[in-house]
Amino acid sequence: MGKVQITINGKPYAVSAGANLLKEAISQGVDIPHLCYDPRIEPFGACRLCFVEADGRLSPACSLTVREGMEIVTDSEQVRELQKIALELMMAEHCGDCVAPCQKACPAGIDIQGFIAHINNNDLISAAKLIRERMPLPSICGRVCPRFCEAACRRNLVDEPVDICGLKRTAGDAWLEQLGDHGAEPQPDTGCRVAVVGGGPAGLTAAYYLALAGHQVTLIDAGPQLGGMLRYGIPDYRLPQDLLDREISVITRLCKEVILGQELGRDFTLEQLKQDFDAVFLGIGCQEAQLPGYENQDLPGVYSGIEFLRSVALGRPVALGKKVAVVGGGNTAMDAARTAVRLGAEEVTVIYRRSREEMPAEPIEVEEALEEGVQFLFLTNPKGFRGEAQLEALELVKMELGPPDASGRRRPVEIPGSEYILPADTVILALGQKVDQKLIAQLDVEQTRWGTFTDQPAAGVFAAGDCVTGAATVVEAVGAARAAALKIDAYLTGKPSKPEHSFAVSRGELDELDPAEFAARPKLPRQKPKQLAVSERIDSFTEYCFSYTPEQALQEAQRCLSCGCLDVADCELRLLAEKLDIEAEQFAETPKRYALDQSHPYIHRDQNKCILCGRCVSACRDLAGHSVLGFVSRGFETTVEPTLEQPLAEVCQSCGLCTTVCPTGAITLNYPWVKRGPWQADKVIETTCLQCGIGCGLEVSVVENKIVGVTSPINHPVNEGVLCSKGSFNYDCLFNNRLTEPQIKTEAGLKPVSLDEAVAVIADRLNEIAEQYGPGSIAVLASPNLTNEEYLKLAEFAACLGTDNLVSTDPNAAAVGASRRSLADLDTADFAVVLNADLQQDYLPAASKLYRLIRSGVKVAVVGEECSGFERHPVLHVKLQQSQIEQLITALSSAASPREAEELIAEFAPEIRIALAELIIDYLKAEHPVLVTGENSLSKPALLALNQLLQIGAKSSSLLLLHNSGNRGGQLQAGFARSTTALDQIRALIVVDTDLDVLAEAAQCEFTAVITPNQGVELAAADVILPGSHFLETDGTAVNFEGRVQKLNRVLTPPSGKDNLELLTWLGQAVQSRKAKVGSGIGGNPQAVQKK
Amino acid sequence: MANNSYKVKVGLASCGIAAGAQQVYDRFSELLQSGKLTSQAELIPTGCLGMCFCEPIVEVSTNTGERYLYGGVTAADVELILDQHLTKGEPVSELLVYGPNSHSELDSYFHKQRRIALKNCGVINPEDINSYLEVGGYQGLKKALEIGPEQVIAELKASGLRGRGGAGFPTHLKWSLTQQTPGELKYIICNADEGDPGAFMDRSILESDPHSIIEGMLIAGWAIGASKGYIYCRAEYPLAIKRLKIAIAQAEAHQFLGTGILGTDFNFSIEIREGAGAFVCGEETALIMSIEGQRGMPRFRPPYPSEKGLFAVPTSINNVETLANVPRILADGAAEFSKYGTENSRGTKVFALAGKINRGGLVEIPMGMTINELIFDIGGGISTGKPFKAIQTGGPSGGCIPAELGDTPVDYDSLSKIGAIMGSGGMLVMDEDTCMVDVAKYFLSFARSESCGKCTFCRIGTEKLLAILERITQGEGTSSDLTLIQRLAEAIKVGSMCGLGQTVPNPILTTMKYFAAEYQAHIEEGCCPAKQCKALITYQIDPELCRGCGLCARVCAVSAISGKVKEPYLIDSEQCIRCGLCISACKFNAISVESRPKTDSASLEVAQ
Repeated sequence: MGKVQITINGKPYAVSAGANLLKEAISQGVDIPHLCYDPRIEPFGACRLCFVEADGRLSPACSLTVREGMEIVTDSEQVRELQKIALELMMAEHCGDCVAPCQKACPAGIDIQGFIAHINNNDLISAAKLIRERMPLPSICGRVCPRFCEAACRRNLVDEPVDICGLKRTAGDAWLEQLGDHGAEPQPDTGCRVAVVGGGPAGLTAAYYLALAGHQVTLIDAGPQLGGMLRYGIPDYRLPQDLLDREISVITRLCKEVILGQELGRDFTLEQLKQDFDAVFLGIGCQEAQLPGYENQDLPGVYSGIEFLRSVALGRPVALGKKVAVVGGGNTAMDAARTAVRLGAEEVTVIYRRSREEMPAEPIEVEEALEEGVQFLFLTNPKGFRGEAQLEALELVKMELGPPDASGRRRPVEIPGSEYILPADTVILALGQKVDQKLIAQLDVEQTRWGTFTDQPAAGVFAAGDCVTGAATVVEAVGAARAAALKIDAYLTGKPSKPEHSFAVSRGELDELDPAEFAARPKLPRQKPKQLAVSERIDSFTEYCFSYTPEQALQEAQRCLSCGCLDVADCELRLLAEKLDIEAEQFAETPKRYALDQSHPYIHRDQNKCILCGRCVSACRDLAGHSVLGFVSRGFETTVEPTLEQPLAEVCQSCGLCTTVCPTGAITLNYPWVKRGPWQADKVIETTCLQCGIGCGLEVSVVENKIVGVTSPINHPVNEGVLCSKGSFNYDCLFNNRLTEPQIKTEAGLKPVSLDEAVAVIADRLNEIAEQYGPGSIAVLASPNLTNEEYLKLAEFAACLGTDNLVSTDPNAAAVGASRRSLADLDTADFAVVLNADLQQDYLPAASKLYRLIRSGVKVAVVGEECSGFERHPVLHVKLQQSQIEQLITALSSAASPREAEELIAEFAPEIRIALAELIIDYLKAEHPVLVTGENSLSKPALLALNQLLQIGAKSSSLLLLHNSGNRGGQLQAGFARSTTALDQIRALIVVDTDLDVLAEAAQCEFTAVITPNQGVELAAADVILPGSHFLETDGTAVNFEGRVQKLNRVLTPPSGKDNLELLTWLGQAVQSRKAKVGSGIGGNPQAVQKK
Repeated sequence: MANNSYKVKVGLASCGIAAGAQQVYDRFSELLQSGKLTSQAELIPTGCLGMCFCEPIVEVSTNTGERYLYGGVTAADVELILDQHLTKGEPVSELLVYGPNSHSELDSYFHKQRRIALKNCGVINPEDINSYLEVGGYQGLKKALEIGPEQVIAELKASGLRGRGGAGFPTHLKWSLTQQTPGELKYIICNADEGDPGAFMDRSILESDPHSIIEGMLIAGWAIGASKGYIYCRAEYPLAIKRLKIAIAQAEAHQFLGTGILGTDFNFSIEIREGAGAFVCGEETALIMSIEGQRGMPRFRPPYPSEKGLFAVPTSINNVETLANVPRILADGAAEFSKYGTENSRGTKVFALAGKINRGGLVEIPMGMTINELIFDIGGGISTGKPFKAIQTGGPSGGCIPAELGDTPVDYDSLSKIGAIMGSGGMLVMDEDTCMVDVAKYFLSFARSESCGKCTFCRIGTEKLLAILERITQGEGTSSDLTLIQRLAEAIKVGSMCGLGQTVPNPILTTMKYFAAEYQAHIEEGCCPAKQCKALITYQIDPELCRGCGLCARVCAVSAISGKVKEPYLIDSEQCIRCGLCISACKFNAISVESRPKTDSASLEVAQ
């Protein structure tokens, strides 16, 4: 095709004449937003995003054909405006949650749905790893967090929220248990020095992420130990100190230096830090108690909450009376009251000026305090303290709730004349904390009018946590400190901080949803972690609430509704929304209208997220020829539905193409063997499918040795991204029914043994049989689905045994040749004939090419009883039985003219004759005809006739002989030419196979050793079984039906830890090294493995 | 036919049948067969005269050429007509709508019309090819076959005929483009998927003069080199389909269809395809998809159907009315046709007058006539007697034209200049009681459900536009809504794939342009000046006028009216559903509808 010159945004481009503008632009790297376009399918034009100005006229690029001199502008104001409105409209229709509501509610932004999915997969370590991406204190936070996430949890509409915090803690604990402080690895040293002042949650977080980024962190704290309020503000029974130490040590291990007992403003100045370090982080918290200034506030016996808790934590003596009053309604008040109980106070009373509903303390804290005997005086406030040298009583006044104040809570007002006296010998004032005002005044920094730091109080100085926000929660401090660490990293490296997703649609808050939608969800009770009884806990500071057992964690994790979108990471809609910076709320969102279709085992559909781009419909129809998905209804009610609106599972052919083309999360993958999360895969590995001889390219996404996605690159030279159901989904066998241990047959049946033992037995028996009957009595059997390397290794092994009996488990082995033609021949064919093969069922990528050929107007003939896969296509169906095909082929090869052809087919029935004649005429007319068939589709004579046909004439005909086994070519090349029918003389067999039908014949042998990945009944015939590997578990190469040598890469580790190659190597060595022992061994030991 | 004889024609198109014409016809038939009548009378079933306002219509004509039109005839009247007119020769004056010597108000109705496309409608028997042949049927085809394809196209060009389906593309150009595209196989499609609400021009022609369409298609096929034609007719037109089938069979029997037509080597056949009722299938590419058996969704143009149409071969798609004009142009010559109309809009156009107009029905006028002439001289003015407010042309794709622009000539260019379109010929007449926001909402909700659902702008854009209008009619609009409408409407116009989407915003844009104050009133004052938007109106009883009869309370379906007999009654606005039953019931005109500006806080509360 010739080239024409066009300009895009003023730059010249040479593009193929007559080509589609969008296709050319994309291939030349020009960025034009689009959602409904797929280069393999005719442009559909639904999304209306790819607008450009072509010679001044607005048109969708996908509708334009390039012309010489065309001037294209892709980013004019008008173009952007149209694109934005289109996206805004789509967003209004796209109803779902990009991010789960729990994650949105979490101040640290933990991928909660993601870590819970890991727990669902029994993978607590991956869960902790994911949590630690946002929260370096999972065990700590899991004990003290107020759980903003759980308040937003959609499960509230079913029964109770998921115990997110409990799960977080369990994962965090598992990490500490298994990895200790060695779990996190920093980036290479950047050489930048950062001082982190304050060892509380904010400082620890900043230190962690800065150190991970490769900066040299010096962590400075005024206290004797790190932890800040975690250590001195939260009592041990909630947060044990040793746990604190262990979790903190994960962070300190990464720091260059930790300096304790040094206080800012006392021992060093900010100026010094600024000089000595490249950046400074301040996370010094709120260390000063808020005291309103009551009468006699200085009396002995009056403490502030933090002063009291800090003294207890430090083990300092606290003079605590019998009657203790605690003033305040927050968590510190609860901590103080419950600590007082544990210190032996006889009567502990909490005094709070509002009612219980308004208490800022966690309800569970209040409840547990009540359980522990703490009394509460609500709507009561102290007016002053009484006593001479020591506190003796409080003067209290009763309150009532007036109109709401600025915080929205009703303001308490005194009831005049309601004053009374409460005797007490200790009072603890837990009324909040503030930043050390003396210190902040002394520093030359920017501060807010509330007396806190700004987040960047001076050049090179960053701050976060309580000292910026005022006293708040651990999780808020962590979230802010991580953000600050990212800012510091950007400041130090000069690189802009990696943008985190700015765009997310949401279905709204709990009260905006219809509870009816959740009514059908099964109710599952929330797990209860083990807890000490009240009597056990009130006189001890040991932790009374435990983490979940792994079983409980799994149960609890299964309660997660997985609200967030699984395809969030690569949602094209979201990426475009971010890029074009749209206003998603421009148009009122359409509420959720459709129930989820989860009928299909692998494919889930959420119509509410569908933007009707039509890609799935086109892919299903044009690429797969299935036409299962189609548009239903019209106007705004249009939806994509499976045939006759049946559940997808009923009608789908499961090729999975729809999941790969869907640009949003409307069609998502689901695998029975793994719970997918919104996380991205650890790695994506390219390999080759060996489930048939097409040799499709695979891209396998893996998380923790589990497959979480299988797709195929659309530019793959063989299959162009089209996979069949086997290639997409047939991987259950990797995760179910696996052999994990070697087994040896005994009289009592199969018995697990060590690999050493099994290998030794095989080596000895083979050596014996070789000795006894000669090496020719041993055969090596291999399935045609192994890699070239496995065949070579097997041949090597056979050679080492002295045998050349290399046998294929496939009876067709020798009869079929490689076609040495390429599937790409179908791109240029001017006529194609399918010979008795159900391509759609067995070789979908080949069928897909034929569908495209038909669409381009090329004629296709289908020969066979059925017209499977082409029923909906305008093909010439020649209804022949398999036995008649040879005759047709002969006619094709001998007819030089239509007239001769007529004669050759004279004996066929008249109605067949017409079609046959048409086929022959078309074949004779064609310059590049392609014949397509499967290796099992034709009789042997027909195959031979075909070969002959291709050898005659000058015509460049192609034969695509499709193999149903993965590496037929490689197996032949390695010399596995014999078929299993020739096993009469064989006494011992080594079988490497996934499909063990052949073992029925093995029963004739004295000894059979099998290497296979899965358990199966056929294994009863084996004497020794070694757990083998699957093709996704090995590196190597394979030859596809075209003769193309393709690479396989190990995607997963086999459960036994060893793949076939490693096992064979080991076996080979054992045979060699144990040969010497054979003489003495005969008749000796192997009773256990002798069969007859 | 003997002297002193009569022809009695009964209009039996769907509209007449709906009004009871079949019973009238049957009664005539019964009485004529009874032999009671002494004079000669031939009873002829015929099609639609277009005078919907006085169906069923019976025309009695004499052999001297006098025509008497009876309107609103019932079966009971038949005997009277027979006795008085056909027997005694005395026309029945009380049923007579128009006669040879009458100088009635209908003079201008008849005299201002020029019937070309509708020439045979109501004149011939649509189920009898001979009846068509008698009035010169298939003469156009004969002429066409004589002069050859090139000349046919030249004749079309000289006539200035433009597509009557809405877009007004020159017919000769469409034909010559299709003719020039190489290809052994070509198709003619007659687009009879008439979907605009209130439009029934095509149905009437198909039911009343089906052979003219067949003849038009034959001429088109001959001109472009097509041997096959499809009539894509909506299934909601069963009578049209029935008569088309009869006509096709008769044309085949007379060798107008088939092989070697009229001794030439021209072969042509016609197949009818019934549409399933999707408005969008009137769009040519969607129509093609539908005939092909696919979902009726538009596809890209180019390639235009003239290059790659039905089953990927060159195809010319012409509207029913366009095709109906073709035989006349060939038979009578281009000059006879082009003498009507204006410079760029030649000939006549059929309109379906509907809404608040006295003489609703089909009319055919020379293009260039003003809107006022059409509404008042032909249409007889506003049926409610209230002031004329606006017309909507072109259905949901068209625009609203205010009464102030009543002097605008009806032609392609003048209408498009003021933001409207000629469209296929639907013309909705509105009086001052019509709320223009409500009108825009009506057409938009039609488009919302009739969009094929393919492209973003049309599918979601119309839904969101509608939501904004809904908001405005609920009194919850804000002034930023108008900006949003403008932004969205412009995007839908530019961004949609096919004509449906591209024209969807027209009603809303033209009403916003010409009736801005009405939008303002809804948004800023929370009132509906036309007193139509239910959320913004209240029903009130004038205590001065109320006699306390209690009838209103009795008819009220929701018991919102209470009071004591002989004392003024009261309407509880909270309960009232604004159905209007009480207004119809009140004999003293004591009940009125109010829509007060927001500033009146009392009424605001009521409105909410």
